[in-house]
Amino acid sequence: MDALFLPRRSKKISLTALIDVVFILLMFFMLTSSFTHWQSLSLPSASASTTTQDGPPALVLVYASNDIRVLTDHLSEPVDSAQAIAALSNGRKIVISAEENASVQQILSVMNILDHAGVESTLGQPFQLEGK
Amino acid sequence: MNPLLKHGSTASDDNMIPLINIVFLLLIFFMVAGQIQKRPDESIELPTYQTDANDAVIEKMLTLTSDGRVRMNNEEVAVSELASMVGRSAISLTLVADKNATAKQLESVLSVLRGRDDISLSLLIGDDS
Repeated sequence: MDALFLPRRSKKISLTALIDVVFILLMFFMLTSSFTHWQSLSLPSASASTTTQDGPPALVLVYASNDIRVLTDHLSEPVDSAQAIAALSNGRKIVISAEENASVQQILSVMNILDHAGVESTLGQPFQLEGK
Repeated sequence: MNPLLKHGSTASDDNMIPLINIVFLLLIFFMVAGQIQKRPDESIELPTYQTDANDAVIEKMLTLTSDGRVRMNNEEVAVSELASMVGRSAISLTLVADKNATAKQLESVLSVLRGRDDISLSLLIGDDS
């Protein structure tokens, strides 16, 4: 009975067990954590009908050959600046349409040019060149 | 005999204290500085875009490889099954498209999501540097 009231002897815990656990935690955080900050871009895709009260949209055609042309009432000569695209679109809504073989990077480069110039655009369906 | 000289397990434990200190510091560094989040496939070359956009928070990841294969959270799916995989509930989707994927391949994914106002779609972009 007296044994119940005896003060408990403090028993030292071995540090080996502690460091085992800490090492496992360290491995977990080293392997799962990432230091890269990913950025994302909201993708406004054009709906099936993009015709607005301003009339049909101006299509910015992105060719696989890196040419950019604007299709309104007629097809323009290749353009290379957002200002030229904005001027040719004549205030209409701009929809980017890429050739089927054009790459994602080519599309984004055009979106980037327009975005930097403050020109709003949406992504439309791709087109196929005749005879391809 | 020097009374400070310890023997046995106590002495070996004392030698471990600097090691534990360093390991604890490393642990705290990785816990505080690192982020645990989904990572895109290493084989995907992200397209570049110069922007000051906010950091992406990847909830559901849709991957489009350069050869047109589509993966939903690293599980390969056919484009025809994508609509059922996405479901009818409102979600936030992050599209991880290879920069060399074609517009046609991108359209095959976007056509499924087009018209779904409840889906917030964003494209993951790489560092321009």
